[in-house]
Amino acid sequence: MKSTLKPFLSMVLILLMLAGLIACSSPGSPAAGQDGTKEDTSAPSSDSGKKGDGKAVEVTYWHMWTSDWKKLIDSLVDEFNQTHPGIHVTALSITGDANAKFLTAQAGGDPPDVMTQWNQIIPSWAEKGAIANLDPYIQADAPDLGEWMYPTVKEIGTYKGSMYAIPFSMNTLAMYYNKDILKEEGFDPEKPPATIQELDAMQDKLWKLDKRGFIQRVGYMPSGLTQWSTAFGGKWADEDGKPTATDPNNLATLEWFQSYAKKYDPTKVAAFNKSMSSNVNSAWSFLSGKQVFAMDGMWRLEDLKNYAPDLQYGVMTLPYPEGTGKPDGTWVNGNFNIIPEKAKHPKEAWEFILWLTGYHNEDWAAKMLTKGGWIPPSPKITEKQAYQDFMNEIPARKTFVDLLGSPNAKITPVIPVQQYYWDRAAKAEESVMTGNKDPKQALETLQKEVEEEIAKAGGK
Amino acid sequence: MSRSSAEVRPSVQVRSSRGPMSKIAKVNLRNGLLFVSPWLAGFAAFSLLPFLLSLYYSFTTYDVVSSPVWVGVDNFVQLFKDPLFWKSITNTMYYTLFSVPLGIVFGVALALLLNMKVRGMALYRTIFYLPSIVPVVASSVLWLWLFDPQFGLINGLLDAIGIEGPGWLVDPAWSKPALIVMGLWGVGGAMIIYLAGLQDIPQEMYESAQIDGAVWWQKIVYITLPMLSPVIFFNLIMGLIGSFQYFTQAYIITSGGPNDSTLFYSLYLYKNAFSYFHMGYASAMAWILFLLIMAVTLLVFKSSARWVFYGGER
Amino acid sequence: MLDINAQPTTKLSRTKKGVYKQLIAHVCLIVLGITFLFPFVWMLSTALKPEAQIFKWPPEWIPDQFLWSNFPEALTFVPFGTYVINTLTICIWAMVGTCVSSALVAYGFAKIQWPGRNVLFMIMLSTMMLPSQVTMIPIFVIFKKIGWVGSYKPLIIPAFLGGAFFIFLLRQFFLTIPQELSEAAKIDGCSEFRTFWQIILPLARPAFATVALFTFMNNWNDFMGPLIYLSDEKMYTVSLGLQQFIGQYGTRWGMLMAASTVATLPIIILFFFAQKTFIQGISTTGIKG
Repeated sequence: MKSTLKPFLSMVLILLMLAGLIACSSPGSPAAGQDGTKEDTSAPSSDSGKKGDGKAVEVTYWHMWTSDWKKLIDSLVDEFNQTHPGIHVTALSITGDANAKFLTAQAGGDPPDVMTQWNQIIPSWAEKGAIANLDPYIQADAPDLGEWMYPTVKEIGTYKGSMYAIPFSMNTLAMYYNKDILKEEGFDPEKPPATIQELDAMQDKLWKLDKRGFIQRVGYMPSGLTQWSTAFGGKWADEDGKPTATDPNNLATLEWFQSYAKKYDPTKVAAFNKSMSSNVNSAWSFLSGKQVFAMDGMWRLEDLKNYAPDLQYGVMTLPYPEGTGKPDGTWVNGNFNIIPEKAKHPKEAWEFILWLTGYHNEDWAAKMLTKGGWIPPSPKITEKQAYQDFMNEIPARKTFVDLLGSPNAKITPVIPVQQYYWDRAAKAEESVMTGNKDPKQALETLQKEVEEEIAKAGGK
Repeated sequence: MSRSSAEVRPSVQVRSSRGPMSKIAKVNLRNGLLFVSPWLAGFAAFSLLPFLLSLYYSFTTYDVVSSPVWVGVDNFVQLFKDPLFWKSITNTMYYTLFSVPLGIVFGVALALLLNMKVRGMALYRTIFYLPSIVPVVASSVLWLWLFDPQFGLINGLLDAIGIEGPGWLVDPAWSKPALIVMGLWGVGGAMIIYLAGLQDIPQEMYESAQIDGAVWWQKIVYITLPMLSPVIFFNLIMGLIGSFQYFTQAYIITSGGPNDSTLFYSLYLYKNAFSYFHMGYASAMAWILFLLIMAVTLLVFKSSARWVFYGGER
Repeated sequence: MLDINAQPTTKLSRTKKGVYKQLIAHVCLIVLGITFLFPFVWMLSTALKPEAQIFKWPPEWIPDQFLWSNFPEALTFVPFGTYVINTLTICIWAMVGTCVSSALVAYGFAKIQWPGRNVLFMIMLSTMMLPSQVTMIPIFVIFKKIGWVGSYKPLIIPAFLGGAFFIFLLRQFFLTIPQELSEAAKIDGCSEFRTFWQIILPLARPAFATVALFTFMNNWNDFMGPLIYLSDEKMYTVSLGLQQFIGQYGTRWGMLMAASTVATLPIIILFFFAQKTFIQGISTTGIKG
């Protein structure tokens, strides 16, 4: 039994040596290709970015684009590196859970220099001091940047009077409709319903149920409470950032939603919705002609082109309630670039995002945005020939782009509890659509939840 | 704690800690510590501090970006008033209560079936393990389609025998059962462990039982299950820990809906930590869950003296 | 049908009974097996469908025509080969590390009597009971401080220090091995280490195969670890690569499924080898119960 020690120690020693071997070798070995000769498709590296001379400032850029968009971003980064010899941007596609990645990096004191994010994070990250106030940079390099953008776009990036995020690309929502089915059911395909009342009146002819009561075809099934509330003139927060979930127009929106849930068996409708638009984004029922109307974004035009080239469709702005409603209502969101407070090279990062947004670079931006199928953040870009050509190619694009300038274009309230607010608003809608709560109850619960969340977040 | 703690080997005399240790006890202590030293080192280096820190965070408001601020037991008080917290606990309990026992029954049954001497067994085993290795990103869409109330295969089969299937993932009353059924497809992992356990059962035991005239079910009840009990015990504990922390499918497939019916504890915790920036609140949740799992585990360990049978201890 | 080990008495009845038994067993296995094949078959069939057919509703299980081009396209759309090599590097190191270290630790917890053993064991179990979401950031900060972030070290080195799950698993297996065996060995003058190495380890081969398979698979499918620790696309792993097919504006389903199918192959191969050890466990090596 005495001799246990020796072989044991040697075993542990081997373990430690192996571990040590990895500990010492791995920075070199797997990453060895970094400066190597092999040009990888995944890595944007260009000749001007060679670090050999040690002059170029390394800027790390995180974004959430994948598949074809990632490749486009890589090529944009390459272009920037070639035209800006002093800066070398390295792009990294963060997939799946960008928030977790960013927060851990932030906590570890090593965030990227610049990151493209959905706009929802702006107010909370700004409030926490995680992202830099960009006003000093704007004053120095682009004093008219605010006026340069669409007003809604500026509003999204502004928190407590300062700008924290620079837009990259925008989204608006409009209504797709199936011309073939409208014609088939005896409606004029060139005269889609302008109001909620007209839309409602068409439904009986458009819905198709089978013997078991299962839905074969949907005329329209309302979904997206916060988005539809724009057409009803709804309001989610007041000027002080206090939530106003129980606003009468929000209630009107949700009551309209409920009228559909009552007419068509809620579980069947929910079943249909789930089959059709799951959150893994599988099938869009509009493509297969199983839904006559669908509210969605401009990117769906590409799907229609690829997956349903023969479908005759039109795009219109959201119908609104007669009398009280707001025509051309839409909900705007987008991708914004932010600079973390702890970024190592904020100045170079700023140069990069100003270039990327297309400020005083509009011709380039117009061309670039058409490649991604994106909506420009500034009317100055929209009016460029390249973008005009892009809109003329598929006229429906114009509907989406024009909506960005609409006075009834609305955004998610720029308050720190935005993410929670919108999560719970979706749940409130769900509880009404499944017949669990009535609209008033649902909105009151939502209001209470959000107020408690605000207390939790800012209470101490 | 466990049966093994109560038992003291006659050949190894461990004295009470106050008295002088026998030479053999000293050697055993040294050897024991030596053998577990890799884990001890890892624990000290990478686990201990994060553990203590998260405990500290649970008494603070902490948004990850700025430094934590001490608030005492505020988080816990708020948690007990938070309806979603209770909802998530209920959901998690429901899931655990069904998925753990079902997982064990199916796992053991499948392992027994796959331990037979039948031609092509390697292929069968692979087939039953396959669902466990299909990446979640790929399988999640399949589940949505299988459970689709209208066109789904499951309701199609039910319809064929004259039952109108439920709404499954879209019906708050059926979303958890759907996830539990879904979980059974992944029983392959536990099955592997049972299969490995079955190899440890000495053939002679069955042979002597055969001579005594035992029929198949007697062999299972009196030989297989007791001999497999250490492994069942393992899967029970790990099943409990896993289902109390159930997350992935709820996150990817249902994201908590409908009507918060699949808002499981870990999902709500995750949202608090990374979407709403309440790391302190999330840490408090984590420690409540920790205590809950610990209590259940200790109970199971206590009970194990009665039903877990270690061949090495006879 | 579950009569696993029956030793029939006469040769005649043996063959007849045997045939029936085999038949019933096959029927059971095939019926159940079809159910379990769904996920894989569906993944494969989607990988072989043209994009227009993927969206057909209700879904079709068999493609109109087999479209193989998704495979070469998917494997070149992202640098899949690089991802596979990266992931294999992590997996193999983690597998070796976990097997060796977990076996040592499990032996210490199962086969040696020492004061404090049960307390430490419980502490080890408890490390699995705290949801990882709240320890993720402190652990990240530790790795950051010692300069490991951005390398594979955080994904590999902890494996050399034992994994709680596997230690527990192996402990359970070691406990079923008769104590007389190791005691006899010690009386013969074997050291503790030799007992571990020469007596216990060979007896736990099926358990080891399981541990190896599971560590490999866990690391192969791990998403969160590579996501937060790696910040260079050249170092990305397969699971991160699969996410590249999922886009904000729609997913490339055909390619995703093709890449996913390829990604399961290494595990299937490993499983094939691992399950071989289940055929001849210690039950045939003649250890007394």
